Amino acid sequence: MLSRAATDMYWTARYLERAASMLRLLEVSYLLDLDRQEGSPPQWEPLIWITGDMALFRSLYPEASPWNVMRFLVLDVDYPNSVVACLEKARANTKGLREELPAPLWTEINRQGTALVKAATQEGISHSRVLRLCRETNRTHMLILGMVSETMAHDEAYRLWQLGTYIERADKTSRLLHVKYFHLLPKLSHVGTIVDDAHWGALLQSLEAREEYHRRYGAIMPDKVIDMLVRCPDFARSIAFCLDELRDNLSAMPGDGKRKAIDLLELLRFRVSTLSGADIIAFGVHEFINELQIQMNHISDAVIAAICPVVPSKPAKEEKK
Amino acid sequence: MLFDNYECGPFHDELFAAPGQPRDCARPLVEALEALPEGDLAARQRASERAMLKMGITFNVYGDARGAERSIPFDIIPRVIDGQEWDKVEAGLKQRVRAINLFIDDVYHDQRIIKDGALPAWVLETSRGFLPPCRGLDPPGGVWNHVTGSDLVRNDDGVFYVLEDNLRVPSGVSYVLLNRLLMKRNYPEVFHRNLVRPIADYCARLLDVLHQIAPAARSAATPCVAVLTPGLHNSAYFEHAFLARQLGVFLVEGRDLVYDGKYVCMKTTEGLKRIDVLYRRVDSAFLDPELFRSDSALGCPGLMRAYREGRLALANAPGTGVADDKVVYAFIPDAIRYYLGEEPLLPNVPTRLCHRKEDLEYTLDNLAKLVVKPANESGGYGIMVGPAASPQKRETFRKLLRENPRNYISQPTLSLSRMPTLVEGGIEGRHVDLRPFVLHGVDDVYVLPGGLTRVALTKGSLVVNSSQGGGTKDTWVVDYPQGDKK
Repeated sequence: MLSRAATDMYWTARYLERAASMLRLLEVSYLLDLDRQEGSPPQWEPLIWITGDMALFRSLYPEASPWNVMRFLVLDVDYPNSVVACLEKARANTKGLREELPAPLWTEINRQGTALVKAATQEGISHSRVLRLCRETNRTHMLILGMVSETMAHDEAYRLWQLGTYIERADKTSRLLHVKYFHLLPKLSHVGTIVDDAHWGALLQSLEAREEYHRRYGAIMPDKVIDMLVRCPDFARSIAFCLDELRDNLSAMPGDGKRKAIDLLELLRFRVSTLSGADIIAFGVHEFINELQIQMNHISDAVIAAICPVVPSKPAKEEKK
Repeated sequence: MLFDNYECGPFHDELFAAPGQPRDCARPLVEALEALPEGDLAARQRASERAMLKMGITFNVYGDARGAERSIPFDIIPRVIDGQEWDKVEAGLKQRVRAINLFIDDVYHDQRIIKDGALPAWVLETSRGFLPPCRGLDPPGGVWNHVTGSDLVRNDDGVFYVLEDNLRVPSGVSYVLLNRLLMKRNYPEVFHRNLVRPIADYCARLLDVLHQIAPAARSAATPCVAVLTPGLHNSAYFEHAFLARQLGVFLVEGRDLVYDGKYVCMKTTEGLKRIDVLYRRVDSAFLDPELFRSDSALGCPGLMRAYREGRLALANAPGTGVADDKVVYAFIPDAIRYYLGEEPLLPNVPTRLCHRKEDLEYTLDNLAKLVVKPANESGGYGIMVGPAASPQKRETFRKLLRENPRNYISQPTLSLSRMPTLVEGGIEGRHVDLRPFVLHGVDDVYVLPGGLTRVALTKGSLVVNSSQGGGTKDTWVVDYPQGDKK
């Protein structure tokens, strides 16, 4: 497989996963905000903290009103991580992947979000319509993931798709945890004491984990939520699960360059498995997530390095054997 | 009936000899069309267009700021060519393509044609398509123009003329293949009768040609073939991707390639992989910044070194664009006589070369009657159709002609043939041309039966280029049962 196509495949999956996780988060936050009582903190700024792009938001919008945040995160073409921008980038990437993707899958990716993009140009579009489009786009993402598993050969291209999906998902889960932990609770001193069920519940819901959580752990407790999201090996959005998928898919790929990425993965996977939710709180959620994200950036770099050959900066000598 | 009100006008009509009287070769089609329930044709057309969009059959339009992708309009009524007539066209194309190949080989070697006085030296000296670095190149089997797409038009005299030759990176064959796919779905009853010559093996034949020219040292193993595209933003990108898929080969861009000092390789997830044959859809001038345009990011530095040393084959060979030059075009009939000792079977459109003083004067005096074309453009850009041009546009061209006469030719405005085309409100005659595709292998020359029929969808328009609002039709070469007339 061409390195360029491989890289495009990896990033297409990442962009689509990024868009989908943003959409889920947004919908849950929106619904939660409708229940907000007088005096409790608004839910909109934290959404932007999650993206890490607060400075850009402030330069573009006067205040974090629900509509401004929604517009910024979903529809703003000037914001490179907005949902429509991610979908556009995914589309642009797949244009060069016609040979790699089954035609129906290619078509689905190209169609995804065209309604959202159109909505982005309309003035005065209703919130309910944006929310409906978010849900539809999300369903399409599910359909795309299903088609990837069911219609693609489970070859290199498929592995790269999975790598992109799970590395992005691990990143998003960790960011979500990070931000929610510090911005949801009214005061830092309340961490671990006051549990705001609604907020933790919303967090779980945005990861489609709420029912599963209750089945496993019962009542909502921060350390248990962290436990589930970080190291539960059979929950598809936990960091541990994502790391396992990354390792399996990477191992199944041809080539010799992947050793470094696998080593990094196994190291991180071990670290994650040794810490319970309570350990992480004791260690420091902030510190833990920082460490996690640094390691995941290294892994992503190592994955890219594994699929792009080292090209001699000057052509090799005349004689090669 | 469907064609009751159809008018042929003062033109040669491809399907009808006279109103209500289909040509013999078109009779099976006309009968099939008339048997359709009312409104069915339009519904099939819409379904076909939807299918094209769904398949991602689109092209990019240059000069559109948003790089908009559109699907090329497709007309549901195919063009039909009589098999016996086609045999003559085919023979003419084979003759022309052979002569062009000998011509290209000659101009990059001894230039005998100039020494013997059959071509004036100024033509080559001033041709932008002539690439001096290609002198002395010896492509495998002596074949330069593996793929040729010459444009043919039929005048009101019913004769096919060659309008221009495209040897750089002729495009459109993907539409031929896909249009046929759609038509088989639409008119199975006609295809069942085995009247239409098949075209499905084009890609197999192209791959065969590409394998034939692979460097000899690699002939034991299957050669590694790739299609080289300028990238996503090229107007024919869809076709490049389509052909790569159909050939089962890699689709590469310049940035995927690296010259390792000996071979051209592509960067893959398993390391550098050597390429034996590039079916290049990048213009020669961009192939290798070391040798040609130094600002090119579309090629690969060192590519021409590998080519010169016989470690890489290119189709088409670099430098073939010299025969795209419309001044060179005017001399191709002479080249046929010179190299093959034969009379040309397909005539050129009478062409005046503005480089010659008397031709320039004639052109300036008759601007309102003539078509003026730049010698080195394609895609219908920079053309003036005299009778349709505004006085202002004529003045602009008057100035251009005086400033750079070498760059212009003029031809009489042809009465392009027309044929029934589905338009808003029914079926009307629209002008068409034809781009057949010719493959020149090491041992033989193959002509794809039919080719791409382009149709000027705007009423009265003569410009058929897809970049200028033209559409396409399937083209059937039909061997109708003799004596089957009703």
